[in-house]
Amino acid sequence: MGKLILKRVLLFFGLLLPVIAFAEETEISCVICHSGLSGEIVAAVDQWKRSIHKSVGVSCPDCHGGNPDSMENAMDKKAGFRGRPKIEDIPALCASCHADVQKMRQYNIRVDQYAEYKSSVHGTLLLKKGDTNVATCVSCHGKHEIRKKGDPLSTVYYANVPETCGKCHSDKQKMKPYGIPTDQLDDYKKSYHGQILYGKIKGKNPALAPNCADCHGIHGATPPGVEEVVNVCGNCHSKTAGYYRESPHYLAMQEIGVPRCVDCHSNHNIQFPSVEMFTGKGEGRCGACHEEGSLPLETAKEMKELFGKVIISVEEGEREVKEIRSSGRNIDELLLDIDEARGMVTEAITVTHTLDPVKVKKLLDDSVKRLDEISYVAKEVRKDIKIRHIAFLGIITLILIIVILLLLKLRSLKYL
Amino acid sequence: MGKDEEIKGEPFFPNHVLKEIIIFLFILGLIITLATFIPAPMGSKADPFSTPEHIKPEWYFLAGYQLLKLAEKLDFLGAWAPKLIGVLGQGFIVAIIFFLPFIDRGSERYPHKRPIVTTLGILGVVSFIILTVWGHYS
Amino acid sequence: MHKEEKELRKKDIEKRTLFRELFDIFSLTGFLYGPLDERLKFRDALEKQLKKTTPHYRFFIERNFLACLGGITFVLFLIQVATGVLLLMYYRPTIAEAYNSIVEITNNIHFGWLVRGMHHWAANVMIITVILHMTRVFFVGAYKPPRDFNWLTGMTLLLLTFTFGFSGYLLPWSQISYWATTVGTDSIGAVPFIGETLRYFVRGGPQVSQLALTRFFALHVVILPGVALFCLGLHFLMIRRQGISEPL
Repeated sequence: MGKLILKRVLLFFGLLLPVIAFAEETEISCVICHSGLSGEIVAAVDQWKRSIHKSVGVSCPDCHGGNPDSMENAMDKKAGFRGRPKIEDIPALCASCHADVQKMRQYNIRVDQYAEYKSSVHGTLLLKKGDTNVATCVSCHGKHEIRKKGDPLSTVYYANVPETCGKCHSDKQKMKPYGIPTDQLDDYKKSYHGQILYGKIKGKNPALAPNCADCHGIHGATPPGVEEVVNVCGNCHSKTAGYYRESPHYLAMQEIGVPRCVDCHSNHNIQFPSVEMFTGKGEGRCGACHEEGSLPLETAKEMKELFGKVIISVEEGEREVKEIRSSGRNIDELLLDIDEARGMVTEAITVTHTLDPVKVKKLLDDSVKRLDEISYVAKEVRKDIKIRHIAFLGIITLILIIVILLLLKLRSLKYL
Repeated sequence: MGKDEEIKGEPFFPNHVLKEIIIFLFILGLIITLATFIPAPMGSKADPFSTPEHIKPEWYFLAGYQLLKLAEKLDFLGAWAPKLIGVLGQGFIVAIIFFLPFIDRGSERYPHKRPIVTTLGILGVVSFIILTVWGHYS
Repeated sequence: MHKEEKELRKKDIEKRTLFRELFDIFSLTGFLYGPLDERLKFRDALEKQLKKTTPHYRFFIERNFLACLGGITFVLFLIQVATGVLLLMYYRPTIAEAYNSIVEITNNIHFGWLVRGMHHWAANVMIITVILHMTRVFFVGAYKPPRDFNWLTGMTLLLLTFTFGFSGYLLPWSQISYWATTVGTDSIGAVPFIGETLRYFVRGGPQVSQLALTRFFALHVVILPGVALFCLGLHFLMIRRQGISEPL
């Protein structure tokens, strides 16, 4: 009996041993030596300690090579030590793990980044022309402190992407050889998309706003081509894209290449569209392409008038409804109706992409009908408030008269 | 007015009753005025899953609420202190007011002839007002 | 004996006064009154009550406001009972329907907005007057014996008024009422030893939910009015028996 217990105790500690051994070995020899040094190398170790790589067991030799097990020739070229990887080698180096289905399956991440990168402008310049100024994996993801894309501190977290791209693309010096503009980041920040991303638009989810990568691609970063634009914008604005494809504009686009979405709405600095776009000659206005007095421009004017009226009556309806709140009523239902009417107008705005006034008018008419109903209710309530005030005056006067009479009676009474 | 009358005072009926009726009408008019021009708050339906930013009780509980918040400053005594002292302290104050006639046993009625009780009373009223206003604006 | 009594009554009839006339109107309303009065002596009892005097106050504000605070509070209580009963006819005390019924009362029911508004405002004004009433009684020392026990009933009524306010606040089941009640009942938990149990008992569960609403509803419309009426009776009875304290 006693022997059995002894055996079990020994077995327990025997099982524990490797765990203890492992605990001692966590600091690999690279770290032990390099943390005694100073400057960049120590910083690199610190950064790596905060990275996702550390937590999944990817450490120094996996990228830098070498043999941490032997102190003497740890950094021997013969042991595969490669030091700082060459820029043109970086994509392939990362891909040695990240393009490996077997290795990546457990983390449930994609393996096509390397293939996409090779097809991107960055990738072709680097790998085919040997231009080492372009972005590689580490330019966006960081060198040692690589974090998950869902981590708010990550450089590739959705809200940090514009700044990360802008790090190079708004640098005039860096962009000079390629002859591309550097105002995209500033434009984007001013745009409706950017305002949503930075949480400036109330009631819109920043996480759903497109950043650079949503239009240009993530690893296959390229500006969308002529044919692509509709599809790229249509990824989110699918309804609008559908209406656009029904329109004469789409036919023209297939023949002469314009108008695409960006020709009217601009690209980086996209503003919330207004009915003003239907008139005027400036950039993005109908008049920029269509001549004065032509049928298309006349149609545009007609639509603007239609919208102008309905938008004003939506606002008026909302004001009217909020006004009657002062009566203490619950106006939630009326506000919902207003929202519905406004939704119809928004829907009508997307339908304008068909360039068919009949379809637009049908929606706007429905909206106006709904607004009339709301207005009627509001008017009834206002009438009711007026009646209340008149009745109030009556009651107060009555009370006052009775009070005065009673006061007279009181004064006429003598103490008993 | 003779001395006799002064002691006897006003008769309950009809003088006093008439006065009460006038007051009743007056109050009724006041309440109707308030109800007509400042309607009862409507608010939105209770949602146990979304806590509003500023939770405040009705105005007459603001003083007590503010006292509870002040008691939180006592947390250097330990985690138990703020709530216990806050709640029991208020219970203690209410109990003192409740049993006031058995604590203040003197038969003197003039406020200036019983300075301790009067001072405490004024302090109590002033601090109730200050705490209420403070609770309203914090 | 019998003869003397009859003669006294005769004398009384000769001394007609205003309230006597008033009661003669009542005596005309039915043959029941006469025989009942002979046995129960309503007339005498009421006469005695109505003849009592109230003190004469020297200052206008005291005569017409300060000394009337208790009466004003009672008047407000009556308004609360009347409007409360009317609200009760349309209010539905379930968490699904409570808010909707409030909306219904305010939006659609004739004079619902007025009744609700009056109930709301009378409650708030009542809190003010009841506090002022207590403050006045405190400063003029009207709580001194023999009126010390009436201070107790008065304080009970004050606490009842606050409880009325607290329980009534939850009933609309709006966002603010729900959370104010959650925070309010939460502080009950700080009472030593029995706090947790007490909070569970008040809420009828770990959170403010249907049971809490039912509990507060019952408290607000049945239990509190009953207790309050009893205390009001005591309060008035003691004032009658001991008289109103003399003005300073």
